[in-house]
Amino acid sequence: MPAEPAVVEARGVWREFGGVVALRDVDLAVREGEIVALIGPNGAGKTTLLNVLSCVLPPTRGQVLFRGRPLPGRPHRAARAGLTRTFQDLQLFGSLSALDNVLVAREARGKGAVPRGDADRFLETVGLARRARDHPDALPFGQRRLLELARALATEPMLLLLDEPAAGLSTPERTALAERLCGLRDVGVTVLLVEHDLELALGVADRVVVLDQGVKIADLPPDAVRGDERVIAAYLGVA
Amino acid sequence: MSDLLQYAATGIALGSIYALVALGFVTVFAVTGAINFAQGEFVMLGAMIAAQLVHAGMPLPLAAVLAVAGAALAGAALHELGLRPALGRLSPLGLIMITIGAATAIRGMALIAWGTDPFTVPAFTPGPSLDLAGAAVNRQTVWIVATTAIVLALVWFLFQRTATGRALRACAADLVAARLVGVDPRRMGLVSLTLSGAVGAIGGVVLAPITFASYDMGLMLGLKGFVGAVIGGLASAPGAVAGGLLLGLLEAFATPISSGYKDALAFVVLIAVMLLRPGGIFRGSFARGRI
Amino acid sequence: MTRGDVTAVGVLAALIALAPLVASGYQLSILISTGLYGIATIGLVLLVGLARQVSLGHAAFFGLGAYVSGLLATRAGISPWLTIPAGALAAMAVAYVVGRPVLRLHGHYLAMATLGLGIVFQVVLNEWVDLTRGPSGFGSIPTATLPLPIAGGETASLYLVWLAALAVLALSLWLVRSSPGRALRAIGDSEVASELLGLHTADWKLRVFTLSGAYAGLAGALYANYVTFLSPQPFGFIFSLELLVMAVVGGLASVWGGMVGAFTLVALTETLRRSLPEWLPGSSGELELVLFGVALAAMVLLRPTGLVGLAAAGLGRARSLRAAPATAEEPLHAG
Repeated sequence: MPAEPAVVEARGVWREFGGVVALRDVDLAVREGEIVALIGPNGAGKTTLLNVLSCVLPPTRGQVLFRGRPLPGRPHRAARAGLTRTFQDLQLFGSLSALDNVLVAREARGKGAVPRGDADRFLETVGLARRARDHPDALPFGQRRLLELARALATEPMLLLLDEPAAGLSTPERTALAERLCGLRDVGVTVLLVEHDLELALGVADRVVVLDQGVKIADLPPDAVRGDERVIAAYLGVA
Repeated sequence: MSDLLQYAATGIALGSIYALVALGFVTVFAVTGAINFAQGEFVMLGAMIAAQLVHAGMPLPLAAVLAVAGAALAGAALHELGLRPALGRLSPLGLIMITIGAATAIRGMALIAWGTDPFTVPAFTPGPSLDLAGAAVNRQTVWIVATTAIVLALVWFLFQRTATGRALRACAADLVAARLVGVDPRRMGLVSLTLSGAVGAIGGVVLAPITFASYDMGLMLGLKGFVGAVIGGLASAPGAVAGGLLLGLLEAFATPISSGYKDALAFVVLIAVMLLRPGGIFRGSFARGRI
Repeated sequence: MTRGDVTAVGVLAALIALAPLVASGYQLSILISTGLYGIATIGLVLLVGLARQVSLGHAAFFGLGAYVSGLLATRAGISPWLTIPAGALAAMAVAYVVGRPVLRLHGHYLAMATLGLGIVFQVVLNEWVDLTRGPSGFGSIPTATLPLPIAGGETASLYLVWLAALAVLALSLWLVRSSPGRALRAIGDSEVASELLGLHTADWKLRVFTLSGAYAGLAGALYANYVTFLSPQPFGFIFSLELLVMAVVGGLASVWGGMVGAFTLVALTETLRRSLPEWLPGSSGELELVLFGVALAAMVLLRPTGLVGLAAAGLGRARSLRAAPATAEEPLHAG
């Protein structure tokens, strides 16, 4: 049986900064419809890998394929091709209302101005329809995360890269997030998420990839990850 | 051949001043993250204050010391009034605007205090030009180069061998780590600005006998010093010095080709370096982020 | 444009139309200067306030528009009605060409690059004597005057300048609220996020840079038409700074800020020029310089939303690019 096509694939990716090796020969493939969690201790290179996969940083060596083709040189082309991401430090558009944040995402697809109602429904799906006119700094933190998610979804992506979507969220907010993420699969969105919250990550993922010091040390189903020796050693650190 | 030496001598003299200004830029930038547009005005203050005091009858050495102290004070004031409230709050554009504002204010105050006329300062050791291998080298030029060399040596000593210098370098390398070991970045910002004020003023004092002191001499000197700093990679002190010298030599050798356009040369070089080698020409040779 | 904007533009137009009836020649000249500098400042507000780029060399575009327009009129005998748009187009073209590489830079590097370009431009103006007549400049620039039976050259200039200024104002107010305006604001807020939504940020930045260059060029061409004499001296770094001060003082957060800032600075400088010699005999424009500097620094530190921000806060309404109250969203704030 032929393997399902990978939506995004990293092949032999290295990333160096000056003398520091942040990613070392990483191979990773995310197949269509999957939810893959990328975990690892601090400094493992998870965000760097996400930056490379989202076309923000070029790999020093190796290649990234998106939908079977090498990533274009500029991130906006990757975005137009169906790749979207959120940011650990929330890159919302502070001078725009919540609705306009989503509207920009709709309009960025290159088809010019778009009716406002088009954007409303994305706010509705995350429950922010009532706050359409508010600016991001008027929203509580959890709702800002939701807004960023809504904005990302508004581009109707094939692949959604999430950078620590649960950071700063309360427990009920995390549960709600986990539900939404599972719901994404039903809509046909492929997801790769970097996450520190192991419970959340292992709870939603089909597969878990573990990075430690720039090296991929495990690529397993969630249940297997919990007991894996290498993973435990990585988190506890070498003596 | 003696022509070449002539130009080289001029270039090194000019480059020395640029190097001092560039060093000031890098020191402040590395420690505070701000581009201090008022750097050139410190040179002006050194030159003008010294000129005024000498004209009032004060002996040159004393005038020089007071001029340098005055500029150092100006630097300190700039930090306390302008930068301190802004750091961490304002974007690079905001910081630049503040230092531009400060530079303009300083220039304006100089204008009010001393008017538009240029002032002369007698050469330190008056006498005929020296003959060095066929090139006529102005005696003051020797003073410039010698003073610059001494200042650079002192600054090097400060950075490498004193506690304050280590603290400055710590801030430049890693602000968070520096805080963790007890370095107070704001105090270091104050030190860096005071230091760069003094260094700039020394340049102004030795330069004044050659170029006349006037209220608006600081703008171009400051900008060209900045170019020198960028050539050397904005966060490297040795790079800044090398960049300043290089720029001085470039300008000197460009003079016979076109004296008028040579002012533009510095900025063409600046833009070229920023676009093509943003880490500076010596990228890799001098460690970045370290002063 | 909001309904409030439309009303305000209409009221302003009416005031300008009626001004010659009540104002002295001197007051009219202040209004003319406001219009001229306002056009250029609005361009800066779009570039610096909206898209959060930097330009410390906008005097060059202003000067370019002035010189192209003036030279075409005097050397080639072309009608000023054509040379004025020609000046704007020339500035626009140069902005496009230099913008492409330069806008790849950010923060201080961009600031210094634009500064450098401005200085190079002024040096060229001074040195290329065959073309520009060098430091001595040239005069007798024929003016375009409106074919209206009105008394006084000032009035004709006033109407011409403000015809353009109101058009620029209206266009910019519309732009800010439109889809391109949203895209620019997004890019100003977070270039990386915009890029990853599919916006070609390099293209957008170039567009707004080019537009702001065109505005400055138009203002310069109108300036040449008004003063009829040009020399390189005014078009240097200090002028770039003045434009920036106008933008900051008015408030980078609003297109109206461009006009307000221009008016404030023009009125202030004129007042100083006139009354300072009375207060401090023997002084002229020097205090200006100090006040400039202090004003810029103080404004940036204390009130980055400028005078318009002050007013908007007082009115309790958000009628600006940045609707958020004083939090971290001003263009001068970190992050």
